[in-house]
Amino acid sequence: MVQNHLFRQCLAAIPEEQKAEFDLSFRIAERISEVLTEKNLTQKDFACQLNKSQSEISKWLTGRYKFSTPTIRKIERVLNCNLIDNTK
Amino acid sequence: MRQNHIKMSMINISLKTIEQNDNVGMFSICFDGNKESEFETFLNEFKDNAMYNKDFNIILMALAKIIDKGALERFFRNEGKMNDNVKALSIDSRKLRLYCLRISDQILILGNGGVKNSRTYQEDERLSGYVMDLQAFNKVLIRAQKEGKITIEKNVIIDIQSTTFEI
Repeated sequence: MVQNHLFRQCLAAIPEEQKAEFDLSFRIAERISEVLTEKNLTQKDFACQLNKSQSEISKWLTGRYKFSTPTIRKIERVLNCNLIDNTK
Repeated sequence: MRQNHIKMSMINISLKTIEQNDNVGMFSICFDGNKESEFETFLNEFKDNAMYNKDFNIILMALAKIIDKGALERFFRNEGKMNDNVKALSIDSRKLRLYCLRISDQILILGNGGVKNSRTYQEDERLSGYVMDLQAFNKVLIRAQKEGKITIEKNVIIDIQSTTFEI
């Protein structure tokens, strides 16, 4: 295993609260991706069902998107799943 | 800008291993024998920048996830031209971005990055240079593979330490 000292130093300097916030967004994105795979849904199909553009869905799946609670709720309804309960 | 140098002389590039585990090999490009890679230059430029600190941290955390999960396509935004492997790690409509070459789920080559104040990167000389550097390197990498100078196997680029490339 190789690690870069400068990169690891910069990572270590990130406040815990920011890490936790990022982890949550990332886990939600991962959960969406999982469910799309389980249901054999393409990003395009998913975008249609939500009346969103495919590029919006792409942004969500990067793991760096800040989901609002209404958006989470809409996604849960369309995918018929829980996003937050499974993020532990 | 580095791309202006191409008209006058060739530039030597080497690849430096940034991070490597069983999942992923993350590398960065070094110009003309510099020990500091383009990615490390990016880190040094932004690590103490208060204005972009939050965005910078998000990009770092995204890289940490990539090291853990793999350089999956959905983690990146397409940049450059279609099929040239150039991607950006960016944050929605925010300004800071890091450019890279996504070779596969297991190989990522990091370039430099910066703040995008223009509508497109092409309108920004500095960012445009970073993208063009990666596009040029992508071509020489493909050629080096075809010529057998290097071999890419899963998360490893074999003979990388001893190979220099010219763009």
